[in-house]
Amino acid sequence: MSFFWFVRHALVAQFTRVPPLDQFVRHMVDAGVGSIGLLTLLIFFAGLSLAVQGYAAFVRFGGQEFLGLFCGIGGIRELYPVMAAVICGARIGANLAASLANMQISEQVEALEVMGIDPMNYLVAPRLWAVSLAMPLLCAYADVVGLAASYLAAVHQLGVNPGNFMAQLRGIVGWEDLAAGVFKGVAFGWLVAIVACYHGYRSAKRDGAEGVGIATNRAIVHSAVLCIVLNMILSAILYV
Amino acid sequence: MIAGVRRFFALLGEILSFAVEVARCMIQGPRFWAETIRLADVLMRRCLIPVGLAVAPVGAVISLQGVSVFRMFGADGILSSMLAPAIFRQYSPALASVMVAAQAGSSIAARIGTMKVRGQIDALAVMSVDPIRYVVVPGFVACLFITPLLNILTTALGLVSGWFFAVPVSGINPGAFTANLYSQVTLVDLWVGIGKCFFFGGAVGLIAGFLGLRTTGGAAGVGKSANNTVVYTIILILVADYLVSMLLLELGL
Amino acid sequence: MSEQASGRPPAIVLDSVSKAFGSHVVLDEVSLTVRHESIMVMLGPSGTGKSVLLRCLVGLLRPDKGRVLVFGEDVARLDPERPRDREELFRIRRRFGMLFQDGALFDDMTVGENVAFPMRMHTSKSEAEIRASVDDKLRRVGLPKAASKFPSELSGGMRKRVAFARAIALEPDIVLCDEPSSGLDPVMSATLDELILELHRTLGMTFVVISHDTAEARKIADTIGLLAKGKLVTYGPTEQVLRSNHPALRQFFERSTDGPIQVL
Ligand SMILES: Nc1ncnc2c1ncn2[C@@H]1O[C@H](COP(=O)(O)OP(=O)(O)O)[C@@H](O)[C@H]1O
Ligand SMILES: [Mg+2]
Repeated sequence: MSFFWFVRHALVAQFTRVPPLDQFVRHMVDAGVGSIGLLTLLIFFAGLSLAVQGYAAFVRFGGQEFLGLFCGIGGIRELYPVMAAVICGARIGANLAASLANMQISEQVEALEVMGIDPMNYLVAPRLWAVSLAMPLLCAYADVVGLAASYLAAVHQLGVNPGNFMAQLRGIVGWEDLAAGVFKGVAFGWLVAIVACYHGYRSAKRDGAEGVGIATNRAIVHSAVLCIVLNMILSAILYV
Repeated sequence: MIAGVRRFFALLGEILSFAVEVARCMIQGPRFWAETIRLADVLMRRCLIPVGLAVAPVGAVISLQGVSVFRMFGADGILSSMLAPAIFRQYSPALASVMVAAQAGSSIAARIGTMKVRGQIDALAVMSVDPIRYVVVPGFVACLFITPLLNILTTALGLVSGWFFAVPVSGINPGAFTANLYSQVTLVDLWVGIGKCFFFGGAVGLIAGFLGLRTTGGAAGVGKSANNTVVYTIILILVADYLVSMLLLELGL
Repeated sequence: MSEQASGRPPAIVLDSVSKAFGSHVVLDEVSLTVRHESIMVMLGPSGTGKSVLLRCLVGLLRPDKGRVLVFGEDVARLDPERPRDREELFRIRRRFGMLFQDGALFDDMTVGENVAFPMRMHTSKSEAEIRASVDDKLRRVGLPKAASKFPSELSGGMRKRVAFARAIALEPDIVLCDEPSSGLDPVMSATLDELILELHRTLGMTFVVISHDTAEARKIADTIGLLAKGKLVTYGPTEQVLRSNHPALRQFFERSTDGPIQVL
């Protein structure tokens, strides 16, 4: 089974039928709500780090008053969406791949097939929908948390003027940046889900427990790499 | 919430005592050097491409976004003085470590977890082979050494891709780029990067071994261990990264 | 292979079916006919391709060669990777119920939900009807109180019985059972045999049962086959097969180590 065959069938399954709603809701909650704790923690530290590093870099040539601008561009346009994608992608992708691989090695997927239910419709489509809708929400949420953290670090720790910080932020970050972030989020979410479903779906009974580990590992690595590369491509298209 | 905090510290305690156990096993033999070197070789090969693919785009994005910012002030010549420390100190070590966690860490945890759920770990123990010495220590040592090595490669790669998107793509003066590139990089940046990688790499190997050995719940448990290894190490890397940045800023380095 | 005078077309016909994985030939020119409303038991040592044979019947695997006719429709012709053929396959598969070797229960659903699942997906029964039917099926397999448990809380034998209940949930025309008796204690296994006979008698289901257990074959089969090293060694009505003196068959029924089937 090749990746392109899988993608084609997944797309057909995703767009020709209404996915089973209970499955969709479950995976939406799993992917979205389940990632919030982790995401908050990590993006908060990333936001702090971004401000501290920006400050450390700018202070060398006396440009520390541009910190707001730096945090806006660096964070909203680049760091937070891609970090949300990589972190949540690792978590969500690993879960999807592991659960599908586990269903394959215990013949649950074949059981579905024998019951006359297409696993592409029943298993893959709702996961694709759920993750591609959860990810942009997570990216938007990451923007908020990250900016708040950067603001805290800049104003309370590094002594940057708060009015100045916000003014710069407003000057550089517009609605189109947030829209671009959401767009990136949908793309990242779909990518994470399709890669994870592919690796999980491809396992077979004879792979055993090892197969679950391999599928999980591949899903994590491939989705992280693909998100980072896709981010570069999207940034090049959107901002150059 | 309080229960969660309690559980967190209980887990931390277990990991620390596991680390002590691993250290003890490393000091007292027997040591499985051949296995360690084989594993390091395998993991290094497997990590090379993902790590490279993760770091190169970051250099590119810093250059692209940096150019657009510095252009506003007509100061695009000094872009490289921001790019180099960011890559050296920050993005290359952090991303190399995250990708080592994703690739090497999750595969080590999955391998050990598979052995665990199949009863092979118990079988080793029954045959009087210490599972920590035999399966955990080689992975730990391998991760400890491959991460800094990978970091050296990715630092170079990040700079090259940053250069590519700054000079040929965005038309920054090549002379200014190279002149400013080293103006802000010190030996400290180099050592900080390598030191962080050493620490993060060890943490990846340790957490992978720890979670792998604790795997329960059959095949699904294997996936969970692989997943948790990555999540825990990413948390550690980001938090430690921030603390190190703060420390360096305080020290004025 | 005498077609009985019932005049009905056979449920399943295999026509020189071959299947290999790489150079490993698992099924070698297997031809057989399963009559409508009969119970066929396929015996054979482990690893000879019994499960592969079953998978070919429902199109989970596609034979390299030969035809697999289910009520006259060729399953082997259908390519599961082609959308149109897939639809066709799913339609044909609704006539089947299948008990997998390790149960293949959905482990995120309770036992009751597992058994109800095919009904929820394919019928418009009301929730009350479904519940009644689930209780009936679970009672038949001897697990009347297990409906709200999760598969991970059950023993292997219990899981297998739940899987059997799920396989017969839609009262399909053909039920495929991959080693229903292995992992069950003798009494439970006998109960399952009785259940197969009862379902056969009352609802006229056709059964294809894979087994190691010659006693089970004697008890329920009206046709017995023996598969060894990918070849169908013998196949025919039970009395005839039991009377025959085929060495492999004798060896299997006598649990002997000397004979054509060699493991060492
Ligand atoms: N998907 C597959 N890929 C490769 N080999 C397989 C596959 N499925 C089964 N086999 C091989 O086919 C042979 C028969 O398997 P199986 O039908 O499961 O045996 P059994 O008669 O015990 O049910 C085994 O040697 C097995 O290794
Ligand atoms: Mg079998």
